[in-house]
Amino acid sequence: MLVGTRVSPDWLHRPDDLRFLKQIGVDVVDITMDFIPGFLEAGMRLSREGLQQAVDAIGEAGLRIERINSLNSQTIDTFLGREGTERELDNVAHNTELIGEFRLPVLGVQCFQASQFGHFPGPDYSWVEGRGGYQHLHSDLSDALVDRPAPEGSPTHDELWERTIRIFQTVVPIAERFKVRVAMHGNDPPVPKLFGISQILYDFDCFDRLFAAVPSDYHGMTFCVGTRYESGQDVFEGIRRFGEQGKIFHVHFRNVHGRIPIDGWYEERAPDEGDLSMTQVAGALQDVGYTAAIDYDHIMRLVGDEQGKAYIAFCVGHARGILEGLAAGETRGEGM
Amino acid sequence: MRVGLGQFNELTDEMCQFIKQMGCDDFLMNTPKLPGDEGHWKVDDLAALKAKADAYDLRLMALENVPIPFYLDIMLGGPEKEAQLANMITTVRNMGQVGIPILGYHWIPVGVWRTQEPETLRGGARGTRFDLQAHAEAPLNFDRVYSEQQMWDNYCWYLERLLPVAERAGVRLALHPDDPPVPALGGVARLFGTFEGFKKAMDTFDSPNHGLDFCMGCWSEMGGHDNVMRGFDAFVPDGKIAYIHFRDVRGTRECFHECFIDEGQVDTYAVVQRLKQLGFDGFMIPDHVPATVGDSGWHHRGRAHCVGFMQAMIQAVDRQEAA
Repeated sequence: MLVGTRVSPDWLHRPDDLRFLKQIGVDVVDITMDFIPGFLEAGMRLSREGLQQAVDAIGEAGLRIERINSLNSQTIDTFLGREGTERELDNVAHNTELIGEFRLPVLGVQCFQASQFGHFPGPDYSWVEGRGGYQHLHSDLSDALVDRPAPEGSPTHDELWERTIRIFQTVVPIAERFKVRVAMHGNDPPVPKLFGISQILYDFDCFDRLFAAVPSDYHGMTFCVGTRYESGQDVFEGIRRFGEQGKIFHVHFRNVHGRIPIDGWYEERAPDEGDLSMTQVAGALQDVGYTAAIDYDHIMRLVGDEQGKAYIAFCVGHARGILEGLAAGETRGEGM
Repeated sequence: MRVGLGQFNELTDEMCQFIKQMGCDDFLMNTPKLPGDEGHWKVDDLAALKAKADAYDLRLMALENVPIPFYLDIMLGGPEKEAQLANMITTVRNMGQVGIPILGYHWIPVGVWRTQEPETLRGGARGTRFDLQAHAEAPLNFDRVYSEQQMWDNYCWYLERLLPVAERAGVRLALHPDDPPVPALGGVARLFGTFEGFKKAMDTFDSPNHGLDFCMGCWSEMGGHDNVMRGFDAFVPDGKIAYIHFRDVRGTRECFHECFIDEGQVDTYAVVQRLKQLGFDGFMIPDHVPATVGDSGWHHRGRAHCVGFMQAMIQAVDRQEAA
């Protein structure tokens, strides 16, 4: 397995920061499409020049791009059934071709998030204090989950399926041609409705439904350990289920305390202090033959660490320790 | 087996918070900045450190190294040695009174040596380097050459007097290796750079209040992975390891460079596994870490990286043992 991390668009012009990632032992990075120069200006269309610039900047630091992720705003008209769908799908096809030409291994495609619909009050995210006063995210969904009628004009469950499948029917055949793996992350938070607005990719069965609708060896998932755990489903069962189908293309390696169906809230935590043993999670991934990236995901706030780099270093050190531990156990036949 | 932090000399609120945030409860300080004009540390100053640690629910486990001038004449057999001994006795008693359990010490009056121009590591990070050849012409540090026998005699003179005080005060003395562990530098013989050296120190001054500050980096310099394992095998079962510096290098005592903990020559998984099997229940801290771009003077990022690695390695071993 590889140690991955996300970098935000401004890192394109921060070669020292990219070098820092290499120094602490990061292998690969995860970018969003707006990392690519000119993407937003061209109306969310990638260009060869822009991609080359990004690939070069990351390559110069001794890293490479593992996953390029779409923004869910790229297909907002499609999700909402508005004019502009054809243009969006044309962009999606164009972008997929270019990503294929550049042989980027994984293309993240986003699902509709309830928060994309207007007038959405938002789930209650707040920063709370953990051990030693470090700040981590707390999300209380009790209000968002109260049963209420769907807001006027919000897409229905069936509409979302139909539209999402259309996006995947556009992307997957092109990706397949270039051997790019298309990865669905699923909803964050992973619930079927927020403030009455439907979401369709919140549990394991939803993923299976999507894979069945657009079947391909190049159609799979970003297995986000955090959201899968928050959903209340068994992370280990999920790793076996999707790992054995060869559907896990990328992993968000985030630890969590609390599960939505049981607690109504959850907290994002440092990798060593959530409900999960991340060592056990990595062991389960190894057991299903997963060899791609584990990415610690969101950054929590440590004292004096305005740029988040000490936190990143902690997580990367933790991930490297886990992987070395697994490798050592494996070599010695100890059945880690 | 616990992970802690150390290697700083001022106990700020921010440092206390950072240690806790790293998931650690144990820490030590290196040569804390305390008033010492009279050649010793006073109860009130030590008590203030302890109180601050307590306020953050942290364990101040050790003070590592008094300033060298506190005991330079003791090490070299100089004219002030009696006065310095009296002061060291005061410091040890004061630590005991305050409840700081361990005093780390070393026997290197010339200090730690490194060679200019650090090694370039992955991504351009920098790790300190030592090359004995570069120091072949180094002048004497003091007025003359100090032989191995003289340094040992001085050591015995000191331990014979201080160790009984430490025993009564409830303080443990923890011996750090000579870094680099070569036979002599600057004209001063180095006693504690071989397995036999440590064995002799532990056998001659055998007491529950005497142990090792086991610097894995130095033990790796002395003979790589096998030597580290030999050290643990020999000293953990007798409870001789007070705490561990979890650092590594690539190379030998004559020529080595420091590196990230996940790229050294020691098999850290095997080490943690052996420590667990041998029943080590003390703490270990990141030691020197490579310089990464933009890091703080204390290397917050490098240390966070090392703590994360150590915690994961302990978890990995625990999981395997439980299987």
